[in-house]
Amino acid sequence: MNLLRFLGLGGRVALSGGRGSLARVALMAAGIGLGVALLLGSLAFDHAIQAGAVREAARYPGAQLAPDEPQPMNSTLMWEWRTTFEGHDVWLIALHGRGRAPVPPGITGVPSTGQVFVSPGLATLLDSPSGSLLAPRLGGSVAGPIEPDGLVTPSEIFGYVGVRPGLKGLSLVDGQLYTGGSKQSFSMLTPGSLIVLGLAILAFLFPVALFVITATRLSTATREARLAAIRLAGATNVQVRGMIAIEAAMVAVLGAIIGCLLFLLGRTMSLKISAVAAGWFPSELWPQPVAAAAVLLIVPALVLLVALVGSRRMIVSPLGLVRRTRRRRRGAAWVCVGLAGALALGFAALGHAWVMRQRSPIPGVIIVGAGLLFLAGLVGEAGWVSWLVARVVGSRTRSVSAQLGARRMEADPGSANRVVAGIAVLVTLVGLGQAVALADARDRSGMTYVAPWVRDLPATIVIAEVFDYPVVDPASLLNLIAVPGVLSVRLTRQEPSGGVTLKPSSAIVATDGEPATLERIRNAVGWRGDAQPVSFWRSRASAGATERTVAHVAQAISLVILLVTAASLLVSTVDGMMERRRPLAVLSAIGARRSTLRRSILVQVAIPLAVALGLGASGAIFLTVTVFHVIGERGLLPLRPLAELTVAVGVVVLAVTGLAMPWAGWTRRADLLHAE
Amino acid sequence: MSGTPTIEGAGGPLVHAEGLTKRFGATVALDGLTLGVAGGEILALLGPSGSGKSTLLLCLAGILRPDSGTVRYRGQALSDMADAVLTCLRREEFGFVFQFGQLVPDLTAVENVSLPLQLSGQKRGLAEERALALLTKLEVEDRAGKRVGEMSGGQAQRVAVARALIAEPKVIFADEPTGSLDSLNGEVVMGLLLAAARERGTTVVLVTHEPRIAAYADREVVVRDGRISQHAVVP
Amino acid sequence: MSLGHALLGLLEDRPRHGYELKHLYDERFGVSQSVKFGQVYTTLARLLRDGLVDISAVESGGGPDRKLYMITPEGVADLEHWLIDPQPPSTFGRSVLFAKVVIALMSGRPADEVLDLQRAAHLVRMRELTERKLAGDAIDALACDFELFHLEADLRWIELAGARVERLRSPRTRDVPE
Repeated sequence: MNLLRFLGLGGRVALSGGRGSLARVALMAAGIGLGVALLLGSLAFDHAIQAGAVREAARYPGAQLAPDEPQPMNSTLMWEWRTTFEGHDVWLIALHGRGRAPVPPGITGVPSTGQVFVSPGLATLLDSPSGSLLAPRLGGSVAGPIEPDGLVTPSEIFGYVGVRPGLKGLSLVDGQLYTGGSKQSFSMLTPGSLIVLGLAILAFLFPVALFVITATRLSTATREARLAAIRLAGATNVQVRGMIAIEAAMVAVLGAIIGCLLFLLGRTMSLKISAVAAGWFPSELWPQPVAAAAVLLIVPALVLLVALVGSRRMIVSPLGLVRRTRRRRRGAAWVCVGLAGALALGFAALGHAWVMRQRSPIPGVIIVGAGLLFLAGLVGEAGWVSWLVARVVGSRTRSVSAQLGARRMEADPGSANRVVAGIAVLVTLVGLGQAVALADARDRSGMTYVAPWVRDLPATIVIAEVFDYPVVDPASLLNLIAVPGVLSVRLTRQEPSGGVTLKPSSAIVATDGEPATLERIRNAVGWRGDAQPVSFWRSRASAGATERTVAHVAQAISLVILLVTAASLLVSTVDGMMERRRPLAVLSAIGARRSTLRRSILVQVAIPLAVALGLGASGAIFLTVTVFHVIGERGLLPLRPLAELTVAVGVVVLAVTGLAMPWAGWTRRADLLHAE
Repeated sequence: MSGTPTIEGAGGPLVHAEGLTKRFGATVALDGLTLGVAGGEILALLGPSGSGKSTLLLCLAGILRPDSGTVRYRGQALSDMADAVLTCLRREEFGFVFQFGQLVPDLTAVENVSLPLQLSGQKRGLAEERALALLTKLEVEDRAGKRVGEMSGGQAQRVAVARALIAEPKVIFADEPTGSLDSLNGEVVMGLLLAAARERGTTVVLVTHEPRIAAYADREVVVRDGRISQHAVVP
Repeated sequence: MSLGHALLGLLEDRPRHGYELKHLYDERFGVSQSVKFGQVYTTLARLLRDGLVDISAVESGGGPDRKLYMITPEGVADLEHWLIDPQPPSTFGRSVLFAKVVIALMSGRPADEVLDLQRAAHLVRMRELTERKLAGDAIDALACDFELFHLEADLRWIELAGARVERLRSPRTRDVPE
């Protein structure tokens, strides 16, 4: 009963501090909720991915036939056919059963020769206007659908084809025995992509954590006075810490509830997006109960732990709050750390040529270590640099508003520091990531390996390369001229100039650029079951559609991070103004124009973001140059993404300033001038 | 010492309020109050808390707009002025001292004092030079580079007085300038403020509840229930 | 002339016996020093002689204790005149100020008026002292401050006394919960 009463008291203390403390609790809970929702969301996707992987594994063959071994009784032989149709990957599995043959998932029996079972995605593709171009490649006619338990994703383009060995050059040697599928699912995620995914989630959680920290700093003065008053009323330090813990627990539970609601909302909304609905079965888009429970327990526990550790460092005395930590500026030290990393990377880049001659490449660990050192330095020094800039601006500027804004930033750099560090790292990583993506896209578009004259061809040109495939007679490719939509065909030979090569027996096929023409060419060259003799290189204009998608996703992610960070900045700016509302009111009483105050907010918001942008951009450019030099490739400077980020940051500055304005007007209230 | 009050403009008082009424919700702060302040006069507004004296000061300075009645400065009604003009007037002609919390905590003392000059468009270097000179005169030059957190209440209030004086205003409005100071500091601040005002012939409107502080003035007026108390005509 | 006016003030609401006046006076004004019976009767005799009080009834048994004194219209006028006239501000003669204010407040006269009139008188003196203080040396300042602070204390006390009486009169504010 006593405990209950104490809990109630703690709760009241947390909520009774007026608008300020309510806002504090609400914003903290919202931030934690956002984090919980993000974790639940990624767990749900993970669950769906794994479920898909399990179903995919169920299709895998079990054993290879020995040469000249006949197909045993009661067995199923399978061949894997993959083709591309209008940019879609089409996956077909050809089956031949003997006796009581094991049946792969999704169908009731092994299809007989000429029977094709299709997934809904394949059916839709076949029903589309150009579907008639795909039909000949199936090797049979549609006999029925594949049930969902045989599909990896709802929209997968997949089919089972019944075949007879010997037909169309199918040999027993190429076939594999189906023995009920693999029990071990192969995750689509390689260790490398797992790391990237982990980093992405971290990159999301980082600004969210930043937001929560900013919220905890809200209206500290009032809160500290309140805690001191409780001590004065006779509570022990332990009891006060207990109340802090209760407050944190309340916030954590509230955050967990908000997180669940946000997750449900996000799930419902994202299932309305066609790409999500096509890629995932809704019934599987849930986190596994154990994982969800872990998140809902661990996150509040973490919040509580952080609050307790934080409150251990402070002593609430009846006269006020004393923090045991001293504030020290370690900016210069971090600059040294960053410089050390930069130097290491620089030496690695400069010595690269020499090292390559020694035939012993620089260990990757050193490169990654130097890069991390550089990033750590960047994070550590970012706040210090922006404080320094504010100091210089504050003491040098001739404009009153710049003076006010910069001095304000200089006096209370805490929240700005976190924002600067976050944005600087974001800009660096996005810049570097985009540089890598650009280089990747350039490589995959194959343009560097193609003769210069090909590059200059108009966008409607399709370049077909025929690999060393014995069945196709290069000369027969000249017959492609008969295919509708083909304008000209030119066979190419190896070109020795400048290391640029096109393999022999390739054809440059000029077309009208219609997708259907491409498919006709594929059909004409010859669909040969498991072979895919024709690969297509697109010329510049049509290149890199997927790469652009990747870039767009990266942009969206950085935009979200930028928004959450901007929210932190807004909250701390407004809070700072509320704590200074009396001097600000006096300022307008003595004749400061409204615009002066407005511009001072602008400066105060712009300095940290500009510093972050500058540091991040130079970090990104430096990393791009050195890293590409070390791995021995020519890098493309990520100037375009950096320019886009600059614009985005500029918009954020204006938006935060604009949103903080109403509060600036609030400080003009004359009743603040009355002596209390 | 040019302490003799002079009547400016068209023979009327420098600041003149007539029939001022101001309500905050159900509370009547000013109830048809009429008051004139002559140029160069040092006027104390006395009265118990809640009598409306602070509201009167804010109305006279054009910070609050009364519900009815007019305030004239040099014969011109403040209510006829646009907000920008009023802001400019406060910047160039008026100075303000409040009880506490008026210095921007992020700025140093010298920056705070130079603000009015800078707001009027003076060069920062020059403004800070003059601010430092004034701080020296008020004997707080050793706090010039410090922020409010590093000053005592008396020092902060002297800095505030310097800020009110720096632009050489015609009228200084002081609302309980000694309210949060001990007796000695209160005396010192009042002495400095009024000496400077008398030296320059500046008009001072002083709100206080302490008779001892009011005794510094040329004339005392008692505000009670939003009106000037009629019994308290101090000769 | 303090005791006489105090007695007049005490008689204003109703006639009283001499012993009653003595106890009432001690209760209201005799904070530091009680008045002797002899003083009361001498003063009453003087007031009777000046026509400011009258004897309304004499009870059987004789002796001074049996007389019931009442205030005359002349007495009321004299009291009025004395109350309205502010006490000359001085560090000394403070008990007169005290008696005057208590009588004024107890008799239901508006506290604000008493305060304002007295403050006006005090402020003139305080302004003189302030001027002298600013013009003089440190020793002058000490002497002036001594008087200034006492005068200010007077005014503060009057203000507080007025507020107290107002609160007693107004039934709404009387029962303020602790």
